[in-house]
Amino acid sequence: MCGIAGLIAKERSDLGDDLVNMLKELVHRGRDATGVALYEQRDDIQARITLTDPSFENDLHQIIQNYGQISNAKIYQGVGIFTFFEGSVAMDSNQISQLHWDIDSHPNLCVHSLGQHLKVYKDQGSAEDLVAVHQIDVGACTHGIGHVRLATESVENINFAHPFVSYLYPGLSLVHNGQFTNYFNMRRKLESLGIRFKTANDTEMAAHFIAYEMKEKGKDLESALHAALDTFDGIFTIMVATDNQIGAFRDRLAFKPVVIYEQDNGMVLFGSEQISLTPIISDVYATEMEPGGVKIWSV
Amino acid sequence: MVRLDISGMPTLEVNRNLRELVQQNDEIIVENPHSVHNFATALKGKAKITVEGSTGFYTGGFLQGPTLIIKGNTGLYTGDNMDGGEIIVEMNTGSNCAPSMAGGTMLIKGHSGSRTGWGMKGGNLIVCGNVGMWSGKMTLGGRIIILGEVGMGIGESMYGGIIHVLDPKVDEKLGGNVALKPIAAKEKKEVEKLFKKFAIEQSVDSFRSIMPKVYGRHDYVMFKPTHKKRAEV
Repeated sequence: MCGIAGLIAKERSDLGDDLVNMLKELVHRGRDATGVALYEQRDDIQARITLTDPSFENDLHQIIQNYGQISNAKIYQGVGIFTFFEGSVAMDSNQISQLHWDIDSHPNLCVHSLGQHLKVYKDQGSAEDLVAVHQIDVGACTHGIGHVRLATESVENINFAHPFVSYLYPGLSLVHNGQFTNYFNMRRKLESLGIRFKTANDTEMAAHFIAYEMKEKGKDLESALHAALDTFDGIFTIMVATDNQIGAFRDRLAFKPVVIYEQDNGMVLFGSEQISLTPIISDVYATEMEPGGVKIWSV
Repeated sequence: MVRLDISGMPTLEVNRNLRELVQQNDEIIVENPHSVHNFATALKGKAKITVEGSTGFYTGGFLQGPTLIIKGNTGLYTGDNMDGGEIIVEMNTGSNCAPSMAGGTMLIKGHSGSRTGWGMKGGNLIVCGNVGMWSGKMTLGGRIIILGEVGMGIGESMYGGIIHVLDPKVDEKLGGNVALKPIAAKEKKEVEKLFKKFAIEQSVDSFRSIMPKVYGRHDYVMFKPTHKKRAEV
């Protein structure tokens, strides 16, 4: 199983809380891990990184200091064994991909998010466990996507949890419900192009593939998603967010659900099940996305 | 008549209580359902059960006799493998309603999701609102009546049974291996009987029926070998 949720709402004051409440309603679809990717209206570069042990903090500081100065740094223990780093980095925004690569090269560090607007909070357990330990410290947000995980394709490790990001395209985040059957072929193909993988989770491949299509081939989100739909094999209902768009696409047999409700004022709600929309609006008639469909919403 | 408050009650206990109450009472009113999953599964008997609220997944699965009236919404797989009795949902239901339903009648007064009546084998399913994609897919028997709009691929790969639709654009949304025909006089009577029973005010004349194709289901193309002389090869 696995559950996904998303929200585009510029007028709501606490989008992080809203998204977590939506994921709380999906707890029965998976409680191995829960994660949210939120897009803030601010321009400084923020990092959220996990460390397998607090002793690697120095290593992390050394890597980041090659690129810029750290401020508002915070180190805390997550729900499980991982330690979390959160902070702002004053650096050249063109070097984000390079810094992301450098941090991920360290075997004990893993980037959850690094970018100007995006912040990813993910940890093991349910949405309630996530908010009990992590203070979702975001300002005014425009949109966000979230995921509850029932691990099937790789280990139970929070670095293997969704939302996934790609160092190729900072600002892209992706949540996936399903399984890819051509993961190893696709991974080999992408690795031969020089793309490096941090985890053994099949969804990471999807994030890198779409990021590669957008960054290297210069496609927009819609045509990148069409390329992904034609290339991926297996079961997938995927939501992809960038700084100013949310896209969704589904496999042609529509195995995994997603319902969408659009309000006249521009608010859009996404969820694996109708019940995940109820914390925001109760009792609306949400429509299911068509099989093999690709749809984009601008924020 | 007896009232049962199931607020905070575990599902197993809810169903155990219902099984006992059905034997002694004609009418049961269930309060505070809070979208409980697996509500009233495998119930036998003749009682009328009214739920004052919404229920969750698999409501009335394997139902064998009682009448279940849900005043709110229901979740996915409502009436899963239903065998007899009635389920009346006053509002909307989730996807995959009445899958493999073998008997009885299910009435949805609101909308339903995709794959409604999937693999149905018998009984009647009436949806007053819209249904999503692949409704009546791989149906083996029974009768589905849809008053609202239908989604894509309706009746895809039906083996038996019949679907009555009112949607004027159904021609564009038909699944494979099905035929669309005006409603027959014999079918009209059956539908009218059901509409009268549930007080549905709708003329049956403009309905059309979707049935499995009797012949030409698969167009096989014979492989014709072409012989070429050695010199041409």
